[in-house]
Amino acid sequence: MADFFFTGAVTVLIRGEEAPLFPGRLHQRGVTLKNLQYNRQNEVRFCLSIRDLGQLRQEARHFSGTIRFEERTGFPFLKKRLFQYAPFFLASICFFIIMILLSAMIIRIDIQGADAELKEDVRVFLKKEGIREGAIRLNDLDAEQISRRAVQEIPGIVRFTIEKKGVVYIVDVSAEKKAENSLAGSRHLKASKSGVVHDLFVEYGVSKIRRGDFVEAGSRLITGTKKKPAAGTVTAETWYKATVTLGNKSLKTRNGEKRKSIFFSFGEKEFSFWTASPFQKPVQSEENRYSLHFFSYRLPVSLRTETFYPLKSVTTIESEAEQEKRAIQAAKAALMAKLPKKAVIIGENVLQKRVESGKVKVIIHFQVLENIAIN
Amino acid sequence: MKWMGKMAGLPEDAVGRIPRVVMIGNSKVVVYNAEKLEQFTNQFVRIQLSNATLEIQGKSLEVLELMPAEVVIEGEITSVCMKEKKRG
Repeated sequence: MADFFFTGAVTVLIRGEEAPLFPGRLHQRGVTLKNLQYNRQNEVRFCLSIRDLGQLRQEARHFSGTIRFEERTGFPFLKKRLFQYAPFFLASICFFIIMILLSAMIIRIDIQGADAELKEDVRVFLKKEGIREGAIRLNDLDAEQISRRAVQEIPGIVRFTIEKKGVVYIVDVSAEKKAENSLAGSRHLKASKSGVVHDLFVEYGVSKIRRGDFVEAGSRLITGTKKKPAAGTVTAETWYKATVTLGNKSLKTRNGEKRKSIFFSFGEKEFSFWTASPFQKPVQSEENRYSLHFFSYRLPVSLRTETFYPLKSVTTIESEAEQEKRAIQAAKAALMAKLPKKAVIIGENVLQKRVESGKVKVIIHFQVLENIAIN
Repeated sequence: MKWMGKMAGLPEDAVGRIPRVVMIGNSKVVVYNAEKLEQFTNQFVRIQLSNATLEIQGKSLEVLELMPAEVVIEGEITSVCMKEKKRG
């Protein structure tokens, strides 16, 4: 079976007295012909590989009738036509690439269930995670991990769910319930905590205290009238005590080496493109999944990488000063998360430090400036 | 050639360029080791074999493939006639 597709073929129309004899002459020269048809009187049509065109030409010299080429088929002609349409194909490929990129882009982030302040916090957190408007994200969203981190990092958040709907990310947030002001009817401002008054600003009412006064929790700060309740802020220095216990456990860090396995998946099947040789040491692994979307339709091609980082244990011995520093830092971070936003830590003192069987127990005293006035 | 093939126990058509004609129903004729397609119209095809001519008559005949050693003819075949060539 001679196939003309790869060589390219021409349909030739022969007309003339000797047309019925012409294929036979070509045949004798060893030319392969296909689909010979006798149409009308002395008219023959056949298919000829373009390799044998030279033979045809030689034979045509002794032929009195007319020879006409009709149709060109096969790969070489197809290629030529393909090149002719190259701009069109290029444009369509570009379109697909742009569409895929745009589908991976985050167009909008909706944050539900949060007030303006919390919304800003959530936005800052998401930006740190790489989720911001206009960013192109090909790797799949690990909603569980992000929400776990969000609850840890954003103060005052109880629940955090993130969901991807096409190009829109929908974040649902539940904030901690603030202590209800049950004494809303109260006319006077009272101290929520005991402390030394540092600064006061009275919007309405008569202040009962002065700068430098020590106030007990619950004592009256500003008195108001029935018609107009007292309003204002009282900034006071308050104190917190924190106890931190740090174990000098062996830290493990990555040693800079890494090996990556790459998997392609096509539909349900997964093919490994590169498999990393396993490490002998204990490893930490990270998995990333990248998938392409066309509009909201998920393309069946996706990529998965697994990165292994070997761990090495750090045996450096921290000095006591370093441990103390670390303890203060940890306590400060924990305290900051608890305090209202406007509060400032102005000082910290280590009250007590004890080393017991490798563990360090530190009691730290913090001085904080915050508003203590409540209704 | 012929006797060598016989000695070896080969079928006759396996040795040398001996023409062979295969008919499939009345719609297809395959001729192996044809020498030349002498004449071709849609009603009449004459093929020259090594020492004979093969004349095929029919309606709307077509030569599907014309290769150096093989001719495939399709159409409504009414008669296939082999005539020995006159010597000399």
